[in-house]
Amino acid sequence: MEERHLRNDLNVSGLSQTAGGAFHRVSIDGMAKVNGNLDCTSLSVNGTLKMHGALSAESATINGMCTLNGPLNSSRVRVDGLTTIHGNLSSPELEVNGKCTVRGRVDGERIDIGGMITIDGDVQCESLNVQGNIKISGFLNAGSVEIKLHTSSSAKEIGGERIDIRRTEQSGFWKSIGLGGTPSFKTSLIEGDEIVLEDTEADIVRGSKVYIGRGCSIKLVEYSGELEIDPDAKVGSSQRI
Amino acid sequence: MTDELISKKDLLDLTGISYGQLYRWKRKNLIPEEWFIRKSSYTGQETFFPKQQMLTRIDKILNMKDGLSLDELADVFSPTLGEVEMSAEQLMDRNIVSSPSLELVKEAGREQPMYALEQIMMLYVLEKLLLSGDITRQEGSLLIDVMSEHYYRFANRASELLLIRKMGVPTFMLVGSGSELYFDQGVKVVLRIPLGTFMEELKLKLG
Repeated sequence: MEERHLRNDLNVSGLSQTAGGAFHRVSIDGMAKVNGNLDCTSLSVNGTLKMHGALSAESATINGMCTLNGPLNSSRVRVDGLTTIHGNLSSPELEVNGKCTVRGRVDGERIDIGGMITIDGDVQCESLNVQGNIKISGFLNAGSVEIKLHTSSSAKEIGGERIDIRRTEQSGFWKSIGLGGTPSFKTSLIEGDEIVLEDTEADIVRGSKVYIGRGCSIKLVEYSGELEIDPDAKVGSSQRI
Repeated sequence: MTDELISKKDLLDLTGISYGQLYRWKRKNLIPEEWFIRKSSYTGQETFFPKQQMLTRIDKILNMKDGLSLDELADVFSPTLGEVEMSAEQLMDRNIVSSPSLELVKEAGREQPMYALEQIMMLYVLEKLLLSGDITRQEGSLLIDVMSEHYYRFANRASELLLIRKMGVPTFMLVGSGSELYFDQGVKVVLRIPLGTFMEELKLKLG
């Protein structure tokens, strides 16, 4: 591949349509439509971008609105606006402070969610940090999962080392908009080494060190080390294995 | 494959590894996705694994863990072919191939000054099978044929090597891992081996 910094930049500050291609820096301040694959060093969207093709960018920042009909490959993605990806998202660092929908799987190292994310496929990462709303229709596999519940979130299944799902008292933004329902987390299976849960509804929880906190409703808990259950939690049955 | 399955719970019990380790290895691609077999059970869905493959893999991971990082280990287990080139002498020096196998390759007209990993793999399989007495020299040249013609097709996928005989006539086959095969009555399956194990051994020897 040619040296990236020798490439041209692409700037859109009006209304434009392009076929895609390879660029150095791409910045969209107006409205752009890209009918093909786009490969660039950095992408910044402050207006509206609609893409039909694969996007590969060393770093991508989206402050406006972005719809991708294809996969996104990057080493750093930050979404502060509204983004919909009809494909897989692969980025070691992902930060979402706006709203992001991924109709595919997500692979990363560090994922920080401050806003809302909906993922149709599986999620794989080393650490997942959520202060907001997350909905995963697939399997979540992460080294450490830390979810501060603000609204109703869910995942099909969770597996990992440290899993920490806790309630935070609603205040500020989330309370004032009053959206998303009461803080709760719904999943069918949680498996990990250290598990701390609050306000979680699950069929099975398996781990070595398990704490079931207030507001939980768990059908079956299997543990190998210690188990602590809050009096305000409902546990169908627990079993030492 | 009619491999015996083991449930996740029994597996962790038996090997003493934790859920965290299991998921970390899966993330690092040390355990292939296909081995996570979902089946329904009385508690809902349960995950099962092919017992023998899984136990050997875990044993290998635990025993090699100290020397290699998890990422290096992942390289060893991946079916992907890496970038290696070696001459016949280098291969002999490293005890990967011996001269009888190289002679057979020469007879088949597939001798080369430098061998890429794909071909080294072919030589290694040939060497192992000849040494173990599983195949004859004549079958060896059939093996050279099928491996050099078709092995590249499985560059990123797990594959198996099959040797069948009918009325004393041998045939080699390369098939995708886990495929079901049915033969007529007169066919005897002499060998059915996953090539992944050879690749792991070979990568360790080359590494």
